[in-house]
Amino acid sequence: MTARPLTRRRFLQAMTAGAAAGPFVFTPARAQGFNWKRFQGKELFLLLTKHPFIDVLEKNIPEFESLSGMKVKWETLPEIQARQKLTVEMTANSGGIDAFFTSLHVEKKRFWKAGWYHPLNKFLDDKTLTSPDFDWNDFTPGARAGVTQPDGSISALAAFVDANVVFYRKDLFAAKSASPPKTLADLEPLVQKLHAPPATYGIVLRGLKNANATQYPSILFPMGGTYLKDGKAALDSKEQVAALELYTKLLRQYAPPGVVNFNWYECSASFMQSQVAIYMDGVNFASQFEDAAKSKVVGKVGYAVLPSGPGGHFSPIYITGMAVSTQSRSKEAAYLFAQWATNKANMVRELMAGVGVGRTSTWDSADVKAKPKMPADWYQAYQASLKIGRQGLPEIVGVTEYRDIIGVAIQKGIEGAPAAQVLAQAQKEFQDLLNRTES
Amino acid sequence: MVRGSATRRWLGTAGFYALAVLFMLPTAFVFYWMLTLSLKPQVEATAFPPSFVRFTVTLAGYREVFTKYPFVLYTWNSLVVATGCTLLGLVVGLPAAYSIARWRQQRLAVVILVARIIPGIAYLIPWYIFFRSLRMVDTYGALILTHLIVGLPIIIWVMISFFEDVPADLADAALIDGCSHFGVFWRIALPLVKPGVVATAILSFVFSWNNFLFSVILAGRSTRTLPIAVYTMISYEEINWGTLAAAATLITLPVLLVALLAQRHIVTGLTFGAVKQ
Repeated sequence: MTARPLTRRRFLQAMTAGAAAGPFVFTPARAQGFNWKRFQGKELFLLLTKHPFIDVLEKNIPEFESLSGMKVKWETLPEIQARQKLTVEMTANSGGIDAFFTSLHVEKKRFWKAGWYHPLNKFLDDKTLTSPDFDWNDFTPGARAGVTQPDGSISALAAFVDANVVFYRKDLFAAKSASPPKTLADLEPLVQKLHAPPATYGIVLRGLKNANATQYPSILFPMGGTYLKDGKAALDSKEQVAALELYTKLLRQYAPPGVVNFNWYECSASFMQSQVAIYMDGVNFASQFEDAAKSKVVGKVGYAVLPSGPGGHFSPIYITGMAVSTQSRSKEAAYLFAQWATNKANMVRELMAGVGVGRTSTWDSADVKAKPKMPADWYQAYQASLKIGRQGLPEIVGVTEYRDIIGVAIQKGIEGAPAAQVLAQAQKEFQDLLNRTES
Repeated sequence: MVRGSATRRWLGTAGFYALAVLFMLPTAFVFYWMLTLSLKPQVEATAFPPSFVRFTVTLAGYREVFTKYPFVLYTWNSLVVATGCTLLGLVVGLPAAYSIARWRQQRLAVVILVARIIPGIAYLIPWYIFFRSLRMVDTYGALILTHLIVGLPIIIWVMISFFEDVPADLADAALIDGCSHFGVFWRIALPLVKPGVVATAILSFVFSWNNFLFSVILAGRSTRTLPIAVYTMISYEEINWGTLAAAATLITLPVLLVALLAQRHIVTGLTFGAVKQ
């Protein structure tokens, strides 16, 4: 099933409606210009997710209320529970949610196909609805691509952009006079040099199935691998085999015992407990590393952009955004909120709190430079990663299923199975999945 | 001889307690770990090897529970919903159980059990539509009514066996003396099964207290219950163990207290129904 096929009848209907409504809608609007108070007195309901970005945003919502004259009610739930609630509300067609925080790397295509995202293209083009200083082109190309669907419709405004980077222990590196890996070829010799168990393990990456799928592209992309080739599964390419071989070999030989079952939690904990020299994961973890109440490695962590490889230089990125619900009864008002939440001023606040955003201008903001919360190399590594950002997961309906398929292959690889063999199996399952869900 | 049997008895007692401790250890350790975790700073909570006995004690977790989250409101919500669900469940469930037991309405009993067997998630969307159109989402009423789907079958099923043990002769005697059926239930059967009522009330209270799924969908900001509150301490790529464990400890406490206070009733309650004349 494709989303809302454009039939001839609907096309004609839309044309007539547009022709009839056009003059009445646009003439007064043009005279009006942009005005935050346009929907004064309305009430909005938001479904938000427990997330560092939202922690910062929530504190400022009263400011939006006084700016817009609207009343905002919201609920913040953990991601999985929020998704359950959204699914129930949307299936029930309740119209109760006006805007919601969405994890595009998980639900982008599924929600789009279900028709839950209201396309924002027209709103963005409408000068009466979009503030002149919003500046869509200020978002990085990766962030813009992350919120845009295959048909060009924009499903959300990019909020938090997570990029994969290298975390490394500066003290251990200095002792061995090592420097962060520039290329994939540097990686294994470097890890080997730092590996001194049981005090220090060379590297840690996620090993647990499904979770490992977001770290695997840190090796796969520079190796030259992709998930799809011409719309078909491409898990058995020679680049994939090389990438899986490297990823699993590093974990098999140089990671803490039990890594095959490590999720992000075990990985970051082992790094913060000073057991590991190199860790590659989402840049967002840094705020925990630099908190003495949580970490034993405060001030000892260096941040670097991921190594490049024969296939180029990439950083897998994962994007969350603020979306407007198609079922909302006040979509334009909800769009004002989404716009405010991702405008320059709010993004600067996020960055100052150590939450990364995909807006180019914020990184040079005087406020951020004057009061940096994080070390300088964190900002540098993050910014450099955004420039080479590429969506970290395949943009398909069955993202979770894909993550399980590749995840199992990686786990088997860590346990010693040959990469070509596990990938052949994964390729078959992935193609089956695509046949089932993408047609 | 005498000394020998005394020794044997002593050994028997010792063996009994040793076994009891052995079986209790896994359960008790979970509580111990939760309690210590709630008192540890995060950096020690994730330490490896774990620190079981010696660690820095901090009350930061508890402080955060009360300052960063409206914990008192959540507790109040949970109390209202669990109490409401239990009381309503008893009002509806006790006469139902009595009727099923007295007139052997087995099919009715099975139908009620089926309601419990169907996974709760199957009800969610119909319920949501239903409560939404009644404008009851985010009200205590919706939560209490939905929690009944868990509480009511338990009350009815446990109480059926209690009422079955009340001799039918007693009821017949009362009827001959001019008592109505409701009178028999109220004045004769109910006082006899009081321990059972206490036991089922506690069970129903605990089920409602711990229910997560219905509350997540049907509760809003003002009626959110405690289990959801615990989940809000899990953020994106971050778990706040100290606060999580502190909240878990505080949530367990009332249930534990109620259970301890009513323990005698539970024990007699559970055995009473099993003994036939």
